Amino acid sequence: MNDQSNGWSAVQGAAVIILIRLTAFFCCDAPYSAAYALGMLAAAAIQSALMLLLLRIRLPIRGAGEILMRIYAVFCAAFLTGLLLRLYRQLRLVHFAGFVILLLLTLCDTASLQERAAARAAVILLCIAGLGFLLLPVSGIGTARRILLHTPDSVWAGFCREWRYACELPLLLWVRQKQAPDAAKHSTFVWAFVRCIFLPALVLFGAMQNGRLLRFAGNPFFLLLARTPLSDAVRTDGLWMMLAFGCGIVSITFCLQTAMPPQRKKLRKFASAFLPYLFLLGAGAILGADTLLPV
Amino acid sequence: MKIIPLLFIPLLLTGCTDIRRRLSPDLLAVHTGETVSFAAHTSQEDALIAAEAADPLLLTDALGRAAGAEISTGHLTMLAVSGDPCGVTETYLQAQDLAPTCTVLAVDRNACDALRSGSLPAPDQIEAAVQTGMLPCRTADTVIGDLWGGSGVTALTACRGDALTAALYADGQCCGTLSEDACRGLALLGGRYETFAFDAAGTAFRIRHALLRISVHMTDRPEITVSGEIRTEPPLTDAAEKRLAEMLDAALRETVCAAGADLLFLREAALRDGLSAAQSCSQAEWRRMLLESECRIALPLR
Repeated sequence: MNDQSNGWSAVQGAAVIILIRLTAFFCCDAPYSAAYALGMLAAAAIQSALMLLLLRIRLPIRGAGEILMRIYAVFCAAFLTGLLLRLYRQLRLVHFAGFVILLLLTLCDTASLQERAAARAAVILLCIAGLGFLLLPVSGIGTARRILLHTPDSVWAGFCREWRYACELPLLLWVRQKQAPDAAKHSTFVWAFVRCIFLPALVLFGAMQNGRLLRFAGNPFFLLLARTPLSDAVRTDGLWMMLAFGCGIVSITFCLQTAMPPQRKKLRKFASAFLPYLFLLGAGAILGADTLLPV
Repeated sequence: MKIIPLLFIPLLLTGCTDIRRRLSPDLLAVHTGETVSFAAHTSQEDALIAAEAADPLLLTDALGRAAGAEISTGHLTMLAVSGDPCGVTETYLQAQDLAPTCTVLAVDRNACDALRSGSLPAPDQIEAAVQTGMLPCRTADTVIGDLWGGSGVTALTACRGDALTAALYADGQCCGTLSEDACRGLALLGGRYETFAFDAAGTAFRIRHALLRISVHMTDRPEITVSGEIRTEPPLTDAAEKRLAEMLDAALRETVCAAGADLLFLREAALRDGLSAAQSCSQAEWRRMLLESECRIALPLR
């Protein structure tokens, strides 16, 4: 798993790809139900089988394929930005200007970064998310109801939703290209495991907590947090919100890095010069919003 | 690793704001009529704010204008409603003005006047009744879950004079008040209590362990059966078992057979037990099926 002879290690490759799906998972508006988990599992199994098959054919992405991949990465970044903005609205956070500045900062920082930085940050974030996810079942085991796994919902809708949020699939091929064959194989297996086991299990756990609120017009993950007793004792939603934004920003960074041309010296210089001003502007916007504007 | 500092920037987005301009009510009373009246108690200043608006959704605007501050409803512990409690709860939950674990109380007189006169029960009082198995746990999410995923009938914790009980609501109207036995039976079946003590033939019993299962089978009409095992301290006697069966029977009779209410995940139990009609039938059809159902408690319970 630690093969770093050719670009990213297995863990880094898996982390960056999983983080994109995790961002979509945090921001997704699909209600949790056992049928959704089943649909999710079916879709993820097909996706995993497809990707594992593609592992055997090692076609380098070059020429027109590379251009297409870069364009797709821009779309992916836009998709994730849209999801984050929606989550921002749903959670009724303050300082919208600050949030936009943060995204601009990311854009500039991305241009000045080494490609591996996003992958390293993804590993750290994934570890934090993993630890957080361990807390959830422990805290909510007493309030989970098994009977709620039978709440009527559509498996087909869950299947379609999973495809809708699976924006990381083509990028997996791109990551694979940056890895040694063994590392690529391992990261695809880790990604497939998380998609097929971990996320559907989390949806099942949410279904046992959220129950019949299938028409709830809010974020199901934050509803799950509100239902677990841990949130009553210790306010953990702030931590999760930060984690969701952290995941989103690292994912957008990765997408933008993918989208950028290999020769980007001028862009880097410009971004490095502009970065401190953006930091100042961001701080100014946030402080200004606090002191001058009605909240 | 230059990106790591960026990860701390979302800290700035976590809502650092001037809390002197923000009030977080812990108790909110809403009375719906031709206009909607609001009364809110804020623990920060131990003050009451009252306002009126044309629609329940204008809550934060109306109270904000009256208090001269921004109103944040994230810390509400109890919502007391007179008029249409189900409609108001649904509106606030969908608008995310209400935490899903907030207690909802249906009041039979003007809830705002009751809050002003201090005659509403304290949230701790309701919590204690739930913890001791006197009342079923009826928070906003369970109430709305029954309305959306059950048979369209729900039960709310209700304030009748000075007494606390549970009342059934369908189509925005109260359609019955549950007896004390039915409330205790629902609490027992819901399993959200911490201690459950009861009296039978002059002896006090305390439940140590209860494992109850509801099954739904279809013959010519749905048959709802409660079976399982209850262990008590001192050990269950015939009289105590009869007392428990009475409570469980009252809960099923008054909610399922009398009102067609599905407060105990009966639709889910029916699906689990292979009654596929429960998947596709409408709420009205499911309610009709429940009204025709036969309920029984399978003895022994030990």
